[in-house]
Amino acid sequence: MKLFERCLLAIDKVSSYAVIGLMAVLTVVIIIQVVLRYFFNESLDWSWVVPRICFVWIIFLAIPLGIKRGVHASIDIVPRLLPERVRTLLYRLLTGCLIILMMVVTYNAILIAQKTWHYMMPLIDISLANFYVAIIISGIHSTLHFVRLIWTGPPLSSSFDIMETSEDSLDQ
Amino acid sequence: MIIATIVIIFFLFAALGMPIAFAMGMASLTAILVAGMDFMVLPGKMVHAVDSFPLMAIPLFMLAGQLMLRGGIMDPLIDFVNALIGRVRGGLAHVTVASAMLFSSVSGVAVADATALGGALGPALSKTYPRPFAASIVAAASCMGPIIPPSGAMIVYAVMAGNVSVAGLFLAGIVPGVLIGISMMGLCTYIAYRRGYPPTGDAFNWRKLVRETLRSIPIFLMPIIVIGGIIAGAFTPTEGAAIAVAYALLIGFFFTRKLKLADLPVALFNAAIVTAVVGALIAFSTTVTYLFTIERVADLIVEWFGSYTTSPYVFICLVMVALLVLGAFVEGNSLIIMVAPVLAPVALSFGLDPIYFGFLFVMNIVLGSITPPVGILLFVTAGIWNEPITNIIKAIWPFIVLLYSVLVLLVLVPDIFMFLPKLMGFAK
Repeated sequence: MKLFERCLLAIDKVSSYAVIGLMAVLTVVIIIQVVLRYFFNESLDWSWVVPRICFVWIIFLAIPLGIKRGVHASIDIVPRLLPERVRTLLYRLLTGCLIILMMVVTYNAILIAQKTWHYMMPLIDISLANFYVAIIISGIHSTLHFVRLIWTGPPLSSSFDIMETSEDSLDQ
Repeated sequence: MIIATIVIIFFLFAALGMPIAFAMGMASLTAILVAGMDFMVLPGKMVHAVDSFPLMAIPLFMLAGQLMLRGGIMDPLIDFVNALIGRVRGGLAHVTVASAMLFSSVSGVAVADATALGGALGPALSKTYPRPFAASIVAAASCMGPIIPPSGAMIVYAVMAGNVSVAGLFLAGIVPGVLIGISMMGLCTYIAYRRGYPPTGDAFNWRKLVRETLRSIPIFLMPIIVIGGIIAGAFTPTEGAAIAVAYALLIGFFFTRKLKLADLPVALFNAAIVTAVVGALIAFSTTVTYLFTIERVADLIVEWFGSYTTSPYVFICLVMVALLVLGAFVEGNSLIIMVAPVLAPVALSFGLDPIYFGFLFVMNIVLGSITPPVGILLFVTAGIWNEPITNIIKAIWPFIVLLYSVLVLLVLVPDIFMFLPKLMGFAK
């Protein structure tokens, strides 16, 4: 389990830095586009495509990082009413269902990626399949987190302490 | 059969504690199975749903708010409000509400407002007032975050409803935001006199006010440029959000000089995580929306409502009651993403203006965030003050009554929030 945790932490770290980099690229490209359009009456063709790619990748890469921090909103009124043992069992059962969901999504994203591999995006020489590659990575990464959660139980953090937990994670 | 499957599976998993986004995914998965469709619909729709230029405004506004916060804008803002209000009874409560109004014009998320205000004013509030009252002021004042533009909730609504102008919704939020702020300050004065809270702050001084105003002008310019530009049609909300980020960087590095390069990765990361939370909801709910469209759910709802009433006012009142009940249990963005695509076309068929319906929809959702038992702002402030949530619920009820009274007033006199969108041609 320790090796699994260490590998997952390494994946989280790489994914976090990728998300930060993509977010920076998205921001800078849109700012450049606005400046060029309003001050120089110019426009870069690719500058509408690059933020699109970054945005989709940011969302899918950050979904598992959100799972780790327990920031995806949920309603916990019913689980709170249950005895501790039943609650833990229910949590593991639901997490098992989520593993199935993620595996179905990932498998079908692989199928679409194969089908769209040769279709290029307009204005830029990147395959349309890149979007589905983001889902595949997200699906696998999320599945690993769900497997870990079945083992360890729910994360302690919740939606309002994103700042603290994210800073912690970056320092890890 | 498909509709029933979606509804049952979603509510079952969501009620058992599964995150709402994934409960939507489970409902989609089961409905696809029941409908005998190809599972490839799921990832296909997920990509299509989040591949949206307008949605990019959410992380950018979030980033701008974070950069402004880390750039130290709270200090000059609070100093300005202190100078403006002077020494009055309940002065610190006024400062909190007024600071929330100003911070809301650079941030569009209630939770961000609550954490910023709690961090900046929390210690002083706790020294001056009982802790539950201090927490309840911050929770209630933070509600202005998504009402005063820019607003993350309004952007999500506009994207999900599909036929609503973000600029129009932003305009609709200005007057109610100011109205809420002023009436909340009135309530704070009443409570302060009734409970004998001491006067706080320094005596009013014109020279100090002028000095603090000059010091804060660069901060005030940001919403004027960004929101003004979006409303005037000079740039899209996403471009406006990018300008807000650039402006926040300039303010943080060259004006307050408190922003450090080391702050950037954390701010970028936080913006990305918030985006992923909203993005997951949109991605997983899109298949449900698609299946609802195939099954003509909006038409069925119109027919169902039509058999009881043709009055748009009865419709809006029923929707608002439903949203208030749901909003007390379900997180705001989740509710917008689940319900707006279904109800926005129904509202159109009742002849309701999209801005009118959209604003009231968002306002309901915002009030849900401080409504017990599970209003997110109650949990945020309970966490900041380390105070039992029941104590905050006891202290916050006057603010909840006030906010719902404002909502009723807006329903009865819609021109209060509709005259600006009408004036600028966003509504008829």
